[in-house]
Amino acid sequence: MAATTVLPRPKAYDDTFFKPISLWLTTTDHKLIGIMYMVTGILSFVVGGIFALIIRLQLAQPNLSVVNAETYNQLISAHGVTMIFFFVTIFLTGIANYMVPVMIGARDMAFPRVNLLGFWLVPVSIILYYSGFFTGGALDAGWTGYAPLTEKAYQSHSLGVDFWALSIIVWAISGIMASTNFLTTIIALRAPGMKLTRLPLFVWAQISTSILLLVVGAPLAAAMILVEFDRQLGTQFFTTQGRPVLYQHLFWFFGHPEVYIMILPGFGMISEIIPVFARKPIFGYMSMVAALFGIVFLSMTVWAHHMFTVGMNTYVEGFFMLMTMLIAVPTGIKFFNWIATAWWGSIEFTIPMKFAFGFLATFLIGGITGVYLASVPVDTQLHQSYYVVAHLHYVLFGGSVFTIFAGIYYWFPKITGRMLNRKLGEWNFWTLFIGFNGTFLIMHTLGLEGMPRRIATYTNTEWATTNLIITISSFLIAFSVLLFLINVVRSWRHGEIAGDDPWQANTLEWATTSPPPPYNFERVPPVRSFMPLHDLRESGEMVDSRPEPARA
Amino acid sequence: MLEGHSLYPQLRQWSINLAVLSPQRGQSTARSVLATSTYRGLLATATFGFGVYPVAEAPRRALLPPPIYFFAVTAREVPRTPRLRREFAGTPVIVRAPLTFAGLVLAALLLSSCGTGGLSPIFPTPVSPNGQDIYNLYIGISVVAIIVFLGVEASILWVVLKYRRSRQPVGYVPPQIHGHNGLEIAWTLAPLVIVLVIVGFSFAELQRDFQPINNPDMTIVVSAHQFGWEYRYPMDGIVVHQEGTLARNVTPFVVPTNTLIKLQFDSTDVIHSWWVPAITGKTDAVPGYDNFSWMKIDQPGTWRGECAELCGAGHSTMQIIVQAMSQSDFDQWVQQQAAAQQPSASPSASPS
Repeated sequence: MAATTVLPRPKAYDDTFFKPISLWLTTTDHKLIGIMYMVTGILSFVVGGIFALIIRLQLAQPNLSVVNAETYNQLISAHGVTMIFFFVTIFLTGIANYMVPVMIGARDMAFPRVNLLGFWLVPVSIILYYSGFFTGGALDAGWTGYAPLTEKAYQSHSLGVDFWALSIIVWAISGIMASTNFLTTIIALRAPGMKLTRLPLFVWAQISTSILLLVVGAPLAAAMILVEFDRQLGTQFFTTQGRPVLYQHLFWFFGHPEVYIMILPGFGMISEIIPVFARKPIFGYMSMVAALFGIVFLSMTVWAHHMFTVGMNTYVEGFFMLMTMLIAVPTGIKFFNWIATAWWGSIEFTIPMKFAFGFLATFLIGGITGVYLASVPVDTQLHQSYYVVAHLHYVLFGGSVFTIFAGIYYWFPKITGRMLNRKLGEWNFWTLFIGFNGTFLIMHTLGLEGMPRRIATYTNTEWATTNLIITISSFLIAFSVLLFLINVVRSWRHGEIAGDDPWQANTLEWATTSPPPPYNFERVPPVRSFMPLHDLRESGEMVDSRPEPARA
Repeated sequence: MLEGHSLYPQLRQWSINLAVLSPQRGQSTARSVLATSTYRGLLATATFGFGVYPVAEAPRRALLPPPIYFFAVTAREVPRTPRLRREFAGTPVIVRAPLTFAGLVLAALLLSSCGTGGLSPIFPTPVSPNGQDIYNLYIGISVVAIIVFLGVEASILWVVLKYRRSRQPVGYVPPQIHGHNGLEIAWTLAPLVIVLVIVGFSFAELQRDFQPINNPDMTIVVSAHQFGWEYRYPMDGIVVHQEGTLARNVTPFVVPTNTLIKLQFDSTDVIHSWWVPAITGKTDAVPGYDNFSWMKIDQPGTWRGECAELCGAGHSTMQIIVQAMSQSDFDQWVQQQAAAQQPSASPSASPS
């Protein structure tokens, strides 16, 4: 298609690396806003990663004092907030902002100016949070900010908690705007023929994510407003004399679905990537969609599994244990469907596919350790220990970050028109895979031996060797991310030209040019199944511009 | 030497097949049988993580058959075109297997540290019946978990090795399967049954060991504060203060063995969590909430723990030492404590 017609495009949208700043500041184009979301996310990833490295230096050996305990508590809080709120969620919003309209054959999001406002609230939120560091210390109660430690009585010296609460309120408003926009876009702006049952699974994942964020964003903001009432107006909601456990309920009603907000879009990307490189349609499309909604429903009924040690009634605990374990069922369906998709396939191990399989291999461990943690009696041993830290990183790093890398390597050619370097990509994958497992696999044992999380230092010399191995491996992760950044910057400017459809993929975004013009499609191709491009290729209506798929 | 190796016949057959099937790789049928040095290189690669080959014979990664692939993961950086291969024919090339090597190193590290207590896949051996029950449950879940883990990882590995494009016949078009109802129902029900069984056993344990204690032999109030623990005994005026420190020797919390002790938790400021892994799971000390746990230690000894809920800058200093001693030793200790504490309370009383 691209070979036959290339329309002249506005200068602002040409494929150059740099665009005028005025364009970035004022654009309502979902693609440019998406890129800004993603760049913000990656910058946060780097900042949060630097926090993590300082944390690992501090813990490399017993009784170190690289940073003091007050600073350490601020660092772990900032690491958690940055990675969860400002990296994973923001990056995934960005990639969806870019891809969802193109994948459903729309010209833009339903509300472009809401999109613009929603994005610009993100830097506001980030700046608010980091302002805390200049007011005597940022939040130092962990990313969960459990009351009453965040109350005025214990935090009189700084405004860090106030800035954190304001930042999260702004973040929640931004998230609610984005979710509304996604849902409206997907319901109202689909191309002709794009029935709901023909939506790409990434779009289905975005629907479920948006529903989750719409439901749980408001309770999060409510919890933060109550914290502020306590601190500034002298109310007693969560103070020592009040009901501190109520805060935990409100926070985790957001906090647990947030885990799925961070992983469902990743599931969606894996569901796109595996069929393309295995050259087989996704196995069990309808059960994949049903599993997504099973997860959405179940994830809102499990929040108290973070609170099994506060002393609830055993029947209440039993309920939350049951619901938590049931999540293994829809997740298992997705897992087995992915493996079945690749079974009998002709798998090309490009970098996106490598990351997809890296995700499968590691996320499984996070899922299985989740079953241990869901069992109330076992959880009383593992809760708040390094076992939990290992588990959550297997879910969020082995899950979200591996899928994010898979997504970047998969869609970078569409977004920039250039391929990412394959050799650097190989190095990126293997150093990340080894570094990640080296860091977090043996961390489970620290928890089993009794090392609590969030301690600024430890005196037990038996933990020294394990911690040293973890610290060394964490620097391998940092090296890997450095390779990735070099790859992105170099390939964006000098990478091999990708063409419209370098992977011979199935979904609509590959039918337009790379990068797509402002209006996305010159002509939206007919949609007759959930693999429209595959159909066109089969029926001979579309001739591939490149005979051999490029390897990246 | 290599002729006697168990892989040798397979390697030899494979190299001959390769030469016959794909002469376009830049080798004539006559000279494509790999020289002995190459086998030696492969063996070295599998053992040490790298090996040295003459370029002319160095295999490219894609040419390695699955059995070798397990060992020598990335044999590469060999000139790709026949012309370059000829040009650099005499140059030795290093072929690496970093994964194999890393795996060996990691396995060695794991094995060597298992004995020293540096790494352990299970908790310390519990000394209280509730801790023992949790331990048993943990082992039970592990049996299922390990089977599931190995099964799924093996199927992922199978897909990776078996269905890669380079292993498929040229022009292979995969079957366009859209699903299979029977299979999908099967892998919905199988996890469902597994987790319901785990929930059942966990709930039974929850009913057994996490119910309120009505008839304890002794009730001790554990009161937490920033940063330390205060243990108030039922005996008059006996209190152990365990103040936070990074030194290893904090004041021990002394208890008698074979006595059912109910621990009643509270906090005077923020949330803390009392955790001694060798005894039982952790219990949060939440201000304004009644929370409890219990223990019945079966042997004299000393066990360590720490506060497990972030409670401020001194969180890591809130160490715990529990010291269990026989009833007679405990009675003696109680008398000593009473003697030490009474003069300050009422100077007129004489020690008993």
